[in-house]
Amino acid sequence: MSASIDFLPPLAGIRPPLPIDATGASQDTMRVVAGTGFTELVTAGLQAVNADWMRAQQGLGDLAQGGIGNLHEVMIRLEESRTSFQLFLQVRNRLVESYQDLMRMQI
Amino acid sequence: MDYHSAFAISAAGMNIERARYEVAAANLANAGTVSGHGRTGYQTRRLVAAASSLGTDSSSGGAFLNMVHQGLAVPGYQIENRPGEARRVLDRGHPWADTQGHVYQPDIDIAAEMMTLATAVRIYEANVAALSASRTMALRALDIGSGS
Repeated sequence: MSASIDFLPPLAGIRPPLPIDATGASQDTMRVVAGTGFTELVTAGLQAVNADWMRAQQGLGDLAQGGIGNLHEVMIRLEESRTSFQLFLQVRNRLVESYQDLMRMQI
Repeated sequence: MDYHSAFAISAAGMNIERARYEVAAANLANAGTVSGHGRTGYQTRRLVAAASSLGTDSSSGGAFLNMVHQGLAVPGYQIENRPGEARRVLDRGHPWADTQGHVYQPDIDIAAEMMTLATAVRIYEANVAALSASRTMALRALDIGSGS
């Protein structure tokens, strides 16, 4: 039995190779960091969530200053930022849960 | 679930309807303008929306999803001048009237522009609804396993 976990073929192919966003928003959240450790993965995910949030904030600032901006694009960025944060939160909840399970384990 | 590309589709739809509204608003705003010559006045604009590159071919589910992810599902648009002669109105006292006493008004059908506005608002609403559905599905997917 090999030490590394291989994804099943349907799961491994779940991401398209070239996601292009028509609104120009980057695909940071969807970026897969291959061949790195778990910490790097979490850090990359956090940075992606932060980038989404910063983009939403940037759009809000532009709108408040009367810059050229579509209202719906700002709202969509806010929603994107909220969804990616929710995803991060769920990952964090699972991690904390399993950590606590481990800590409660009787030895 | 890749909500980015799903959001991008709805955003493209909203962009088109917003542009449609702007074109109709510009036409309405210029409906009462006059000019002294048939060709120098306001030229009525119209928006022509082009279908997305998904085209008419049927495709398998995987191919369709791939095209969606590559941003090919979004429609495009362009704004062009609508062909049509300016309306000639007899107004002898007008300072811009030509030698026969005519001024020219742009050929704008106000009722049709109002219909365009109403349709644009409805389609915009539909795009918002589609986006909300996509967001709800993403958030529901995050609910998986939280009930235990």
